[in-house]
Amino acid sequence: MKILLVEDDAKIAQFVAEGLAQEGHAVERFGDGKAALAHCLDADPDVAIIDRMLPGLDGLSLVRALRAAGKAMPVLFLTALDQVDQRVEGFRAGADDYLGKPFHFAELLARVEALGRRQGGTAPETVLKVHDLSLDLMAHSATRAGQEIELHAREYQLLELLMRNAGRVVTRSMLLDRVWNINFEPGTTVVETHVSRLRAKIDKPFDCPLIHTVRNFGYVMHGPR
Amino acid sequence: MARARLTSGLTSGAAFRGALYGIAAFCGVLFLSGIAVLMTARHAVMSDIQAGLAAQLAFVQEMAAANEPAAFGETVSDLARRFAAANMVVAVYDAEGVVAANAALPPGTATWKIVEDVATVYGERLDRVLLLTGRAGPYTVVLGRDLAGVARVSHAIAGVLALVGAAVVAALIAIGWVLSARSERALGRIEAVLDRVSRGEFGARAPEAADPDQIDRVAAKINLHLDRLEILMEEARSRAASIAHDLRTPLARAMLTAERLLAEVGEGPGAGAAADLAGELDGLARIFDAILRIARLEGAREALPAAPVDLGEVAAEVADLYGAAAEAAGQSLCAEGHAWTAGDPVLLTQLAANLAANAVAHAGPGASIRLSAAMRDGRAVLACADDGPGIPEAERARVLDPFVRLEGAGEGTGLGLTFVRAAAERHGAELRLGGNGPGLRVEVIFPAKLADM
Repeated sequence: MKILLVEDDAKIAQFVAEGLAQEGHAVERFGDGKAALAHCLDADPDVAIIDRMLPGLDGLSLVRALRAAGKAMPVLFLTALDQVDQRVEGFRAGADDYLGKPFHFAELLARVEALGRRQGGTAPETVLKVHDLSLDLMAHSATRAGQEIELHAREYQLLELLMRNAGRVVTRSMLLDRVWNINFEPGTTVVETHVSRLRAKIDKPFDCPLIHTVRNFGYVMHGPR
Repeated sequence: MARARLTSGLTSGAAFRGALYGIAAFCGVLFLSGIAVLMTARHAVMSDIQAGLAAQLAFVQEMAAANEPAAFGETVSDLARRFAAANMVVAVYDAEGVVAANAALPPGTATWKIVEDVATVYGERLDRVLLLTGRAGPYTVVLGRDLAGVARVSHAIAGVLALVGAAVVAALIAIGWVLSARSERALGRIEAVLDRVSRGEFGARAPEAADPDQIDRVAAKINLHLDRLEILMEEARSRAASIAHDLRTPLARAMLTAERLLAEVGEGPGAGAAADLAGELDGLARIFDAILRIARLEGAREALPAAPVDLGEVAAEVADLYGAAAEAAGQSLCAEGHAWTAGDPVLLTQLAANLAANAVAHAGPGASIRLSAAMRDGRAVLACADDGPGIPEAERARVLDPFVRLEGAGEGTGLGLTFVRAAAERHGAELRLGGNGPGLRVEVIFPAKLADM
């Protein structure tokens, strides 16, 4: 993906750019809001990562200007200003995701990749498939190896999010955000325990596990490799 | 907790006490000067009487010298009759006995003498009589004057003094009462302001009069100190918030470096230390986040953006979120009831989540945890009750303070309940920690007026 990074802290910018490059993305770095805006008006990055406190033009104004200019690329705010009201401001300005500093690079990567994929804009799917598990989005039902699996509403939402991002890491905080609409750290085992319930239904009765834990921060769904 | 009061009732106010001291002093002076006036007046009246009696004795002596005994006897009898009309008594004796008398008077030897209860020949009784005894030739003359007039004068003077005293005392009490009530009201206003400040309303100020008295000057002084206190608090709070905020960027760099270190050492030597470092930095980030959230709530000046919220729904969502974690810890967690209030739904969810997380972390295995929403006395109440070990009564106030972790409470930042208190206060709600016989019951009691929405 072509990723625009607007961050005035040189060290963070360098870490992030190097990390994204290692994952195979092309990164353009700016430390100034005005320069970033000028660049964006004739280049079309796939995803933009923007700090809020920037010299030249602050992040909120930058995103408003981009949206006003008809630029629709997904934007993620990466900022130390991550209180509830500040997040609301960010989304109102036209951001698609919001990540507070300090952050884990893996969290940023997972969110950026999810944003880049979201833009893919393929026809709406009706059935999600991972290996021998399929989720019928119309009938709200899951079947694995021909066997119907009963799911509670939350378990269904959790599974849908994981399957939509199959092959890609979904972090704990993304799950909290999207499934429970919660933007704070709720304590360590809240998500794990929900995922382990889901695993008990999806994976345990079968030979091959589909939900995999990624280090200590998220999950990824994929079939046997 | 007993609290010292500035005001303590009208009759014990300083102004009223001052008036009482004034009254006591006035009464003392009035009493002493009254006695002096009485004595002087009595003395003057007595001197008059004595002079009169002496003149009359001289007259009788003259008559005794100038008249034959028969004529003298007649004159004296005539005198005795006339004296009687003026409440005067007289008795004249010679060697044989009484020559003439209008009362039974003892012939005695003392010149001046006061006798009581004297009977006149006309059947009157005189209470006190001053007698003057003297010789007139061969006769012994006893002249007397009723002292009832002296007593009347004394009574009249004492009466006037008592009346004046009573009037002045009443006036002083009234003045003292009015002054006391005025200073009481002024002190009451100052006390109310200090009460509000101690409850955290640092903007409260005592009213200052245009024409200031001592109390107004004290009020102005208190206001000046409150201004300084408010500025200091504000500075301390914003400094804490800005320190936490400013540290986020370096912390982000540190976390990214730790992540890179983790990736570079892989499974090699130093992997454990790198993982520990990353874990510690995560913990630090969580503490900064919690401090910032609390500081933001405590420093908020603008009105809370409030919407109608069903606390029962909040409780149900939170129970859904923490249910699996509680089950994994061998606990049960359920939500029940409904109660509408006005508030910030995100903040209220976070509040309830902190209560649930606290209960799951500390209630221990086998505990049953109940989140409930209910209306009580017209106020919405969100409660989290468990049957775990609870918190000893003496410790309950303390656990609301930042970074307080009770012995054996395990992991945690010690900021969860501090956040709950800050979020409750932001809603004008009251936070109460109580026993659940056994266990802990935390109640957040929302103000009644919000429940009307």
